[in-house]
Amino acid sequence: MAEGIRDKVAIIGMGCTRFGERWDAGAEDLIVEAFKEAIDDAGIEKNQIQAAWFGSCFDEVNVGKAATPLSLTLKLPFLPVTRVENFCATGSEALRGAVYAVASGAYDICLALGSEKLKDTGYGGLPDFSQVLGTKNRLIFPNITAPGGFAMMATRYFAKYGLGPEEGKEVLAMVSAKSHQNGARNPKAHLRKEVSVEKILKAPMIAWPLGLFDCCGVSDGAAAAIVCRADLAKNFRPDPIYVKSMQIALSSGEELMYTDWDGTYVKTAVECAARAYDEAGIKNPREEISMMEVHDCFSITELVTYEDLGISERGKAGNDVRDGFFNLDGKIPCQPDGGLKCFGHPIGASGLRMMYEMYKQFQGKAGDRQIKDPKIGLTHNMGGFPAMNLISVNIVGL
Amino acid sequence: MSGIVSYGAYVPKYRIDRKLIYKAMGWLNPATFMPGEKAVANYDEDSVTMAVAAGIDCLTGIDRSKVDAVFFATTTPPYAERQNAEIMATAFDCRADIRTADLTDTLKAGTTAVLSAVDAVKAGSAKNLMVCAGDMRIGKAGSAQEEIFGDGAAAVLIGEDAVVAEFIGSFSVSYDFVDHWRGTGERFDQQWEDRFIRDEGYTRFIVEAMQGLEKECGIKSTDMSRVIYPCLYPGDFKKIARVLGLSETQVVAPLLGQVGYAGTADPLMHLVRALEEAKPGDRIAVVGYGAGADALLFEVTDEIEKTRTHRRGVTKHLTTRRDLGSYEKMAAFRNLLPTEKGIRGDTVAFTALSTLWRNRKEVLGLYGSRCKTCGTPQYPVQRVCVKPDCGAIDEMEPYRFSDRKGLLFTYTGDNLAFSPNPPAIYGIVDFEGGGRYWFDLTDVDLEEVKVDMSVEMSFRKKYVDEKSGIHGYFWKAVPVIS
Amino acid sequence: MRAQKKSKKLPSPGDCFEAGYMIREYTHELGREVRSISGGYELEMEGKLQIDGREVLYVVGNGVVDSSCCGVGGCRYALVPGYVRQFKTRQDEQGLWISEVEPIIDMVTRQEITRVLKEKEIVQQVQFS
Repeated sequence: MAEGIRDKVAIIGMGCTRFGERWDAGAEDLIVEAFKEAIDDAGIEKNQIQAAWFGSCFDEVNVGKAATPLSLTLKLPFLPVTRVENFCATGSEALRGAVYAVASGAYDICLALGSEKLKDTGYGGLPDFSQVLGTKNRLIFPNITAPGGFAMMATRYFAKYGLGPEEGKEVLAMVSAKSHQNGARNPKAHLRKEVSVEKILKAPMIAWPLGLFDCCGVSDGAAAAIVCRADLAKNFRPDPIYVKSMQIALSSGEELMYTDWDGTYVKTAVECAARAYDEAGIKNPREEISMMEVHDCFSITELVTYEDLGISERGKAGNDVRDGFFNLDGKIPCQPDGGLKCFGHPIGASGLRMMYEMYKQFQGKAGDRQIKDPKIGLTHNMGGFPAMNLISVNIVGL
Repeated sequence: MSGIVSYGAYVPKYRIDRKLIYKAMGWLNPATFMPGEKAVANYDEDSVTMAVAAGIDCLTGIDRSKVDAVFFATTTPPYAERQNAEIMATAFDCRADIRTADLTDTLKAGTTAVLSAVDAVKAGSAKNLMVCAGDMRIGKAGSAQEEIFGDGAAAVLIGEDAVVAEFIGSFSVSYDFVDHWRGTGERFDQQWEDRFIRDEGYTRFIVEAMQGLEKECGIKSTDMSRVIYPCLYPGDFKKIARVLGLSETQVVAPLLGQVGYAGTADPLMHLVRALEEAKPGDRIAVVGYGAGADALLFEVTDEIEKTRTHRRGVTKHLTTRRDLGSYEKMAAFRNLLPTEKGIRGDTVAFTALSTLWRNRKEVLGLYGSRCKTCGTPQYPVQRVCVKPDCGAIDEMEPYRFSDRKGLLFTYTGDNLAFSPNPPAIYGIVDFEGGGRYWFDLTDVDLEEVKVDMSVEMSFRKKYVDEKSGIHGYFWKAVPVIS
Repeated sequence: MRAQKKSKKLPSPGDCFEAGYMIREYTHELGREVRSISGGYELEMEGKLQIDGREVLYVVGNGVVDSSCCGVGGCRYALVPGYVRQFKTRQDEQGLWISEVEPIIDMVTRQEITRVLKEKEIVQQVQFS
């Protein structure tokens, strides 16, 4: 009978580069920067690592496919290294590979590292989607971008819950403002500036109804984790964190091609969260979760995620936002490190960067963003569009 | 009897006031002023897409599997080799065992195509033959052609069952009269002086063809209910009427001031216009002019009344208009201006032609599949049913979405996606009868789009890979013409 | 100004709902770049329009999107805080002037203002608060 992975694996070291427009660093530099911090933090030697998972999505444009960019850069000694990619959840997918490998009992210590160096593409953004959608899809998909794909969920959400365009934009602006406030206190963030709701509302529209501050941006960065068997963790440090659950869920196709989905939430997130809570033994997420890092590629994603994770009631997340429920000093601080809004989105790294924040918070090392006595941390990582996507929900704790 | 069984037409929604053209370029050649407005195809339209729209209008209520051949007349085909008529036949969802032909190179190709169709039907080679004509002709900036040319399309179905306008007879003259010409690979038409064209060609050939038609059919022009011929020069247009002895009511008012001169589609568009108003017994002559002239005579039958209700024809499309707003937009749409697309806009992924072949009915015909087990229509074709509690494998039958209307489930106006006519508007459509997918929208402003508005599907140019010379076609959602 | 009744139809950029409150504060600030992670904007100038005998405040800005995931963009755009109730009535802690405005919720008025501003200020977007 399958048991899940609860409390079988611990994270004993993590590293995270400064995210930003790292004109000074190539992909190899980012990998080494994250790796060094991680093994120093874990207090291990490189030769103690038994297997590695490398997350990179579009970075193959820069460094090529397969896992060789990691093994060659770090001079890993003929280790098993797997490259993983699952759109914007690539970072979490790398961690999941390492964690499951240790949970299986096949290894004692594994490395997960995600890296993305996007600023070498020369045209401000990800490589054109039409090249990567597939030969059939590019003949029939609309001229879609990520902001537009998520904007469609905002349109539908506003419509269903009776939010006028201005009212809806204001709720989204509050979500964004909160993240910027946190990111301003984070030395590793790309953007470290507080922005008021009023300033956010004065920005132009990107994809109606999402405006400039509802959208994340492109950034370079890398992050890494060293994981080991839970029963060995305290040999390395007194304050490891333990993995309670790492779940992913992929779309079945019914959101886009069948007419049940009402367009106002992410179906995969609901499924994924349910499995994650089950595995982690969480019965009442609103009461039990201490802090979260969710995939705020767009403000609407974060808003809807509050509901998908079973924390806010359907259609009522806006009320929680207004009440400051997710602020740093709220009941469940969300995006304590500033999120994608302040870090940007180096795709391979983001999932691991989220976990880095959870890790540091548990260890009391979050500086003036420190959350008091966290017990359970949750990261949520999403790839694709609301109509066609994958979600990763990961729960860690003491 | 053989003749016209059905008819249809299409006029692009965008219109430009000719004063805007004159304001932009009249300083260069002041003699080019023309009144009225003309139709300008959107950036995602061309002669093929317009002809498909006209053809679908024509095929309203008709079983498409009955079409035995498709002819396409145009002087502006997107492809010199890759049969444009067959692209259209796939969009119409015709059978594979049909004949197809492109007729091109001259403005009388439209009427010549109708004559060939009539001959085929009379000879028994085809029972139902689609003739579509569409043109998107461009003139150089500041030219008279730029003022006069308009974009449009028309279609007629030639057959023997329930004929609404019987083919009585025809007369053609053919002359290598080089009033205008365009060599292979050239973008722009060139022409000789107008006086030469008017005196030697325009006023001669049309009259010659009509006089030949009179003898052939034994009916005088003055006894015909309507006579259609292109209006290239308004003064001489009237002169031809005088020579033929036509009264004002017999002449079909030219669409010059509303659409422009639509090339090969011109005579057929006017024919459709006349048929929209015709009574049983009306005799309608139509002349195509170019390298000589064709004159055709039809007589309207009692069946005409049955065609009134669903077809949009010319009249409906004339009223469904939107202002293009600027000369620069027209110039940009027609690639007269080298516009900045950015690296993103310039990058077009290659077309996997083997993929296109395998999926041609889905892409060009908007075919999906319907699960025989649970009855759920789904796009694109699936082998595994998408309905959550069904999931049947390989229980599908073909299901056509192209003629289904739907509701716009959600949408956005994207300022970041590269679009030649920003913002890029796209959304998810829930089809009547079931099925859902996402599509680009076109011919609409963001302010007009609303959740749950009615939409229908329109065949459009999805992309042009200029490096490879590939025009990619697909369907976009447009508001239903109410 | 009578507030618009809550419509059963679903909203689009042209629609508007009951504002919830009729008067808002608008902080005047021009010439300062505000950056987000994917770009930035700067409000460049303010102006007033006369519409139906009432004074409407508008602001013109330039936005640049140069670091977003899916393209490079930006535009010249206008914001319409609303009808002027009290112009520059007080200053905040930073010395910025604050006006009291009434958001414009009537759809027909919005369309007219959009038309006028697009022509007058050559903006690509007009947003209402």
